[in-house]
Amino acid sequence: MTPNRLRQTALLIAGALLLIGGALGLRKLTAENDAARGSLIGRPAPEITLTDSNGQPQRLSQWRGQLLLVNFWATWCAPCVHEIPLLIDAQARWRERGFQVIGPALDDSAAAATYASQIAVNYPILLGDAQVSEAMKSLGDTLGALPYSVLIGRDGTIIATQHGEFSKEDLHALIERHLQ
Amino acid sequence: MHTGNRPLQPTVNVQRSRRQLIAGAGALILLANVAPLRAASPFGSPRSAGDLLPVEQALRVGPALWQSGVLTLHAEAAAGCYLYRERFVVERLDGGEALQGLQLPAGERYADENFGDVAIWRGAVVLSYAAATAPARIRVRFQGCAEGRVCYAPQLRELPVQPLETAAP
Repeated sequence: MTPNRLRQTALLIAGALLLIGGALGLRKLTAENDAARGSLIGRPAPEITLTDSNGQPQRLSQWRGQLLLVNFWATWCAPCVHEIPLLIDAQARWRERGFQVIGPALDDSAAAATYASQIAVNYPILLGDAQVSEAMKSLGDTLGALPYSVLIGRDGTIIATQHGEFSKEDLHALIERHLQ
Repeated sequence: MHTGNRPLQPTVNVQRSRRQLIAGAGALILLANVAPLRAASPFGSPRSAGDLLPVEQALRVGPALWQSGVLTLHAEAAAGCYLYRERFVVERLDGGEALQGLQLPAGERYADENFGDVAIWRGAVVLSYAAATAPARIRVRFQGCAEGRVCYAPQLRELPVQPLETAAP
């Protein structure tokens, strides 16, 4: 390799490193902007207390140590109702490995409890229209839309949030990935 | 000719190396940016909030105008969204007589998974109600969905009513 070629190669490598550094810096800034915009990803889930169908207060932190899927739903929300059988199946399939679903209902309490009983929901349904609305906001909802799901890791950190239904494939892949 | 071509060979190699380096740098930059983003999207396909609108933009009501005994209210569902006709309720807040629907668009018949066979409104609609006197404010209850994606929580808005001058006969 001639000295000229060596110099050119060194310059190109230096340029490439500068570009990579710039790109990484830009990505960091973007991530910081996301955080500034209120994304809760990577942050500890806030403590939330909601009432179950027996009238007992239930704190979110009691499920610490499990992979927790908080699925906000309502009986008046067609995509929510459509999604629930998938969540029932997931709860049965992965419960023994430390996966837990909870379903706060943004709905009339009696309507939600009756519906959950009719379709044999196998995970806790939490009730209270106004309280559930507040809980949704504190867990990152900015749309006022259902279904809204929040995945919380075993350490209590928010892993991801999603508006809209899960596909079976996405949900299964997600659970498997985070149960390992 | 043969000897004349020789000096070109290193130049071609340098250009090829440069191209390879640039391609390599490009791939590294791409990896640096894409890999962490994929890791941060554990739900797989990017179906989250990105292209969904907050309820304030998806379902809009207002303005409310009154003229000659008729209250006119404008409402609009953004593209891909709809309002439930039967769940659209307007009340006056000043204790005056109840509003009577004069002209409510028939809407589109829709087989709703929850509510059965219902009527929905897409796009902009104008609703007319009978009100002998101009209400100062009205309360509007409404509900709607982004089709096949999400449904918005029932909404409650209070709006001022703007009385318009009645044209002289």
